[in-house]
Amino acid sequence: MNPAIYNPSSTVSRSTPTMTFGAARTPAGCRLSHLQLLEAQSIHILREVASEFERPVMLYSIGKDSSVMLRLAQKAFYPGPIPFPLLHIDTGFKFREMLTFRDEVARSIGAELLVWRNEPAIRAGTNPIKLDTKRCCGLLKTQALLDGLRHYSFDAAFGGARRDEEKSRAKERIYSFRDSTGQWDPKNQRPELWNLYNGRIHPGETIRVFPLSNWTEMDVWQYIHEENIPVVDLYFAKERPMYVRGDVLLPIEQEFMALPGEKPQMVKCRLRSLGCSPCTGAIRSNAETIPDIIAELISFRSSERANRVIDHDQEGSMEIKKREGYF
Amino acid sequence: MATLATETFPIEQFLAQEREKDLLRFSTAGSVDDGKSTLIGRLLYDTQSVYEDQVRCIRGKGSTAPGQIDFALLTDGLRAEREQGITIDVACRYFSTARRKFIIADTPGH
Ligand SMILES: Nc1nc2c(ncn2[C@@H]2O[C@H](COP(=O)(O)OP(=O)(O)OP(=O)(O)O)[C@@H](O)[C@H]2O)c(=O)[nH]1
Ligand SMILES: [Mg+2]
Repeated sequence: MNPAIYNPSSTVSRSTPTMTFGAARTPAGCRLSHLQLLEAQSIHILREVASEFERPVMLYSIGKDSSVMLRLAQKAFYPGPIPFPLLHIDTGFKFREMLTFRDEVARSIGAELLVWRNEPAIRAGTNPIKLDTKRCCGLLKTQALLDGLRHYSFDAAFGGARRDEEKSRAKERIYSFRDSTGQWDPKNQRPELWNLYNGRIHPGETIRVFPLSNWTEMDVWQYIHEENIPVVDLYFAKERPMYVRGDVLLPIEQEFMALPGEKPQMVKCRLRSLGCSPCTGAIRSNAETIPDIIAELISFRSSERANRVIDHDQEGSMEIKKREGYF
Repeated sequence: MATLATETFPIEQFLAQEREKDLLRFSTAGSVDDGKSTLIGRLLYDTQSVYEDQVRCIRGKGSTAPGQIDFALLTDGLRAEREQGITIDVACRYFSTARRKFIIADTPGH
């Protein structure tokens, strides 16, 4: 069987718990593990949005969080199909393995996959060396995302962002309200009590929805392990050619990243978080399996976004990107 | 922390322990400048739930004496919060101990 095809009998948590989040509501004798609670909360959110909004879409970024979110969407509507399309914002700098994986996953689960690119910017040769990373992200990610959402008139977009990833993301609601220009105003967020989500919007306004808000990186890997969810091979350690600059391992995907005369070296490494190849560093690692990754995670002293150049280009850079419409 | 020898990592035993953990959600409540965020930041720090790069980011900043970490900056994630030294909106943070997983909502003073 193709592991990408969700089959409920093959998974560890056999039933889909339908109760809402919070141990207090668990009926006597029915104890959910924390992963099952997180799963139940996420499924509740996915169903709420699917029933409340006209045109939801799932932003599918191919990484581990998206892979978990996709599995949750399959579970939420099983045995029916996922009732919304997947949208991938392709910057043109995604790893080749990611794109192959994306198409294979969409095909194997029968999901509708949309891809949006900021073609004018890509044709103009936008890259993080020519521009700075901030403007490059602004064009290839944020602008592309806003244009793609507007093009299809989506009113709700699921994203796999987690609050534990970054300090400004810790400030997000699960339903993150965006004005008609797609912007986030962190000082003017709606109350969100327990599992009550306010989905009221005017025409042109949208919400971003984060079903994995309460998941940590550890939860995500445990769930991938327990549910046998396929993930891109780049997460696993292998000998790969890299430009080595001190502690930084830079993938050789894009030639313009090489310094004059720089030669790649073979290094056993893996990626902890998948982004655009020019701005995502690898880490030295021997973790070849998911249990290895979980073991490695326990020993980590740096955050998963430490190797993302774009988070460090200025003070509060994620917050600024989010305000501009990034997710 | 020492790096674990991955060959011997007992994954099933670890996951079984994780499955036994409860999830507790709690929130701070108190007046402005009572030290809510500082306390939460300290809890995160002491349970090793913050990473070195996150601590590095806040060293030498904030309202504490030189050489001391202003732990409130770990939860005050917005620029305006860090500039003004107050919590403006709720932050949800996560940490776990051997027995429990925690979700903390750090609230603004009221
Ligand atoms: N002396 C002393 N100062 C403290 C202690 N805890 C916090 N502070 C100081 O009190 C001030 C306010 O701390 P915060 O943690 O930001 O207070 P808060 O309750 O989160 O404030 P708001 O979120 O704005 O309501 C800061 O200058 C802290 O350094 C403490 O235990 N002892
Ligand atoms: Mg505070």
